[in-house]
Amino acid sequence: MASNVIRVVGARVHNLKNITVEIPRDKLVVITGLSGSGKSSLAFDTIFAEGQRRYVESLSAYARQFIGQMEKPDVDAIEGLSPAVSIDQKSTSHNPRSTVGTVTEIYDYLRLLFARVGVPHCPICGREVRRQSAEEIVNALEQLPEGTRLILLAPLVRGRKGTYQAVFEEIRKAGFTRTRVDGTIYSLDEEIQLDRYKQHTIEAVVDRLVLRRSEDEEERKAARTRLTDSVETALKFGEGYLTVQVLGDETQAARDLYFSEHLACPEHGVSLPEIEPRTFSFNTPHGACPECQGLGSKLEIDPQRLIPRSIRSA
Amino acid sequence: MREGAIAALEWNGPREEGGYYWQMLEAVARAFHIDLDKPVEEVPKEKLDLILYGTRGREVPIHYRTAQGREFTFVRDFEGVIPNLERRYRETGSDYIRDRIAEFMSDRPCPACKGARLRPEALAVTVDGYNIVEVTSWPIHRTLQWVERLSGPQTPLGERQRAIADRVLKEIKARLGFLVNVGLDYLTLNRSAATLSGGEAQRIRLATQVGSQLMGVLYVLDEPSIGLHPRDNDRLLRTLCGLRDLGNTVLVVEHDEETIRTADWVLDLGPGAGEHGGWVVAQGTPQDIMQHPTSLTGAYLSGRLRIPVPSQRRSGNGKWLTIIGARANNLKNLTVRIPLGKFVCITGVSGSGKSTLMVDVLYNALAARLMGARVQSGEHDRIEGVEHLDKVINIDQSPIGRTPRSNPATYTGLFDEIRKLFAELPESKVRGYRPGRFSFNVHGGRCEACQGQGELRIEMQFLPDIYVPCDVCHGKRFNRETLQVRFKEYNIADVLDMTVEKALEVFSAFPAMVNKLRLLQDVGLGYIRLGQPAPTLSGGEAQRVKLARELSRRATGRTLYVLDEPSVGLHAADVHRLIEVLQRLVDAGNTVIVIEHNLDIIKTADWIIDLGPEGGERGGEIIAEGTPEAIMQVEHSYTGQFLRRHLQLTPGIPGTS
Repeated sequence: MASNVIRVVGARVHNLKNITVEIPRDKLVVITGLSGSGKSSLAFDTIFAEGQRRYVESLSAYARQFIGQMEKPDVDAIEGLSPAVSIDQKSTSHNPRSTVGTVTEIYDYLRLLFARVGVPHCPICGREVRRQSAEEIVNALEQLPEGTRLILLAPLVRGRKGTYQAVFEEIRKAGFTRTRVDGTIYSLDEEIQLDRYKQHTIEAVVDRLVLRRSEDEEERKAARTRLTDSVETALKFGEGYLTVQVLGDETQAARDLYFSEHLACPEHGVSLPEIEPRTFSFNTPHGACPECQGLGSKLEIDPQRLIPRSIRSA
Repeated sequence: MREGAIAALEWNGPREEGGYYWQMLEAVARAFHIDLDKPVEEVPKEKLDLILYGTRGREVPIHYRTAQGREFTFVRDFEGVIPNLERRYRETGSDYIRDRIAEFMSDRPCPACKGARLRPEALAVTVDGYNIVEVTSWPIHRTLQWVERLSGPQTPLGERQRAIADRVLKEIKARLGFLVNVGLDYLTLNRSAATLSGGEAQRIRLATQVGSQLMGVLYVLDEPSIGLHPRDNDRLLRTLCGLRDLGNTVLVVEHDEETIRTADWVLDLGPGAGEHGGWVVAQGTPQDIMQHPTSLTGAYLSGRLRIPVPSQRRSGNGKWLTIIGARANNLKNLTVRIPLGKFVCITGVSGSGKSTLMVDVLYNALAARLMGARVQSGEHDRIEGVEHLDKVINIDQSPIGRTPRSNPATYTGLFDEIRKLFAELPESKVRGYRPGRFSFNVHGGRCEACQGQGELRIEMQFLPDIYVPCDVCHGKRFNRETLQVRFKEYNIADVLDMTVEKALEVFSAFPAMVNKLRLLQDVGLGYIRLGQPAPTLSGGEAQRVKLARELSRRATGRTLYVLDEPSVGLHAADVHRLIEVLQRLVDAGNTVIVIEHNLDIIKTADWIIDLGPEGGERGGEIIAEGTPEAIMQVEHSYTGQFLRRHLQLTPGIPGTS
């Protein structure tokens, strides 16, 4: 079998006249001729069919039963045949889920790329979303200028309607004395009346502190410990979320900083799923748009067609 | 509205007995003071919405009278015409109702994801500021540029990200590169695979194979050059040679001259088609083939035989068809003038918008106006000059029938003639057989065991169905008595098994049949069997059967024919014949528009419209229009350049001076 030709002996498939041909291996070979002269009979129905049949024969009987029987092409012998791959034009996919990206597998690699190096954002506000540990949050807060006054808040209710007396009770029970409701800080000793039909945001005030960079090693350590404790408490009480109000002064207005232990937008609380390649697959429920199940389009009644223009003013 | 403004069946208007749906509508109209006698356009939108989308929980007293005269009164909310139809579309068990409702539906981008197909969370993940949907919506050449930027020195990625992404980017870059190499850089990754042409899908698979880097494999390809502009053919050939250089055998069935010239080894089969084929006429290097005395391929390759360039281009009938403001897909607000009474060729690289212009816009618009077809045409302002035409016919490559009961003989009407002939035979007269006896589709003459199919389907449960020849008629499709009637020595089953060529001999005394058979032969189908089941015909064969049928009809002289790549699957000798057939149509005063890459066809056109310059977003403009001679003078027209080169290769032909 050291020959470098594919030898087809006595091919009689369709209209082939018992022909014997040698096809050089590792070469670009063109079969040409008039339409219907037997080109495809030789290339596909003889050479490829036999190559495929031999491959299938090598599978176990169990596997073969699923493939179906392959007929042996009408040929005396074919020598020097390699495993054959056919690239024809008929076997296109008519599945609406197949795209150029999926059939070339490029999309699979793109999914991997986006899952591993993609930067997640909040789908509502577009802000970059990051997962931060308590330690990272503390480090970030310590970067703020000396003398900054901070209020650490644990968010409990985000923009929802209700009176929330139970939430205040819960905050009180947890040992906190203040709460921030819709941006204003109240003492929990007061009676807080909320409009049932308006949206409210409620946070528990966990700690209030001023950033100081002390010269003294001990003092600095103590300050850091307090900050860390408070951040951890707030994260625990706020179920992984933390809001820090930076109080303003003459130069700067007050602002809020948002942090989260989860991969979630701390402001809108939209929790992102773990970013995996399947998140980007429109063929799994993990990634597909829930409205159209990943098809991108929906079949709907079109009012334009329902009331055709021609008789619109009938 | 009372006169039937809402086209859906039950909402159409008052029926004699009233109708449940209509009475509901009247009740809603009464409750919300909607005047059903007014034209729909005068009904305020919010009130129309009540009818279309329902009352959303607001209840309406309904007084319902049945056809039997019984009356009911109840109070309920009205679900609305559109939700009603959508609900019934989902719930109905009847295909008929579903089809009826589907007429009012259209496929629209999903309102939640706007066609992006992914959850908002997935869309919010970006690399270099782009999300995955944006990246897949670019043409491949742009995606490749982006990937190269990510992996290049200007990368926006951080050190850590680079390390992670490095190998992935390399893979993506290689695969995109393969797609560019096979001439598909105009496609986008999110393009649905179902909308690709056969040639595009094949080249994608080719690109995937190149990526697998296997060696020692035998690749068998069927006409990979289909749908490829000569400019992109070079790249395809390089890819094929690349596969070979990896250590694979590449076996290509091909008619394209360039490909044959590039091959290391050529097998020429023939000499004729069908029964006259099946022999090896010549084999060897392209040089050997060219010098071979009897090889038809060699004759065309060496220029001994050639398709002549007409010495004169037709002047046409002076009338024009003008498409104004075509904007469908990538078309750039084109105004295109098409001369009537000429052989017109639309050219341009793949994806430049040829089919969009000719089929989506022109054909669909004309079919709707002239033939009353219910199709939506691609976006355009208007078409002028339609009054010069009375028919438009699209001869495409879609199958002529999906059932094995359809075949070239039935499709062209030839079988009717044959059956009439058989019924006229003395033997039939004696037995009282009428033409219907010789049909395999109706009760009477057919084999009842297989109902005229010739084969039986055996269901294998979880395995694919298998087909076995019918054991009663042995695949002949008719019962014994019918087969006893013979014309010359052939019975009806033998006739179905004949090739067109053979039938021409046998029925040479019958002009009506000869006419139809000759047309089949003229379009290069002399080798097909009359009874070959339609699903087994290739796209090109189906197209040519349709062409033969159109040719057999009486030409009105005002018909517009649109053909998309009729040269597919044709050898140079067949192309030659096809051109003659098309020219005959034009000679009869008709207009023929072909979308073509084959330079032999392009050079024989009277008028060329070249689109480009590239595919996809970079296409959709007119590069040049005019006679082939004029196109060749246009420096920036790829088609013009290749045409010039092509005609220089075959010198001594008018038009090259």
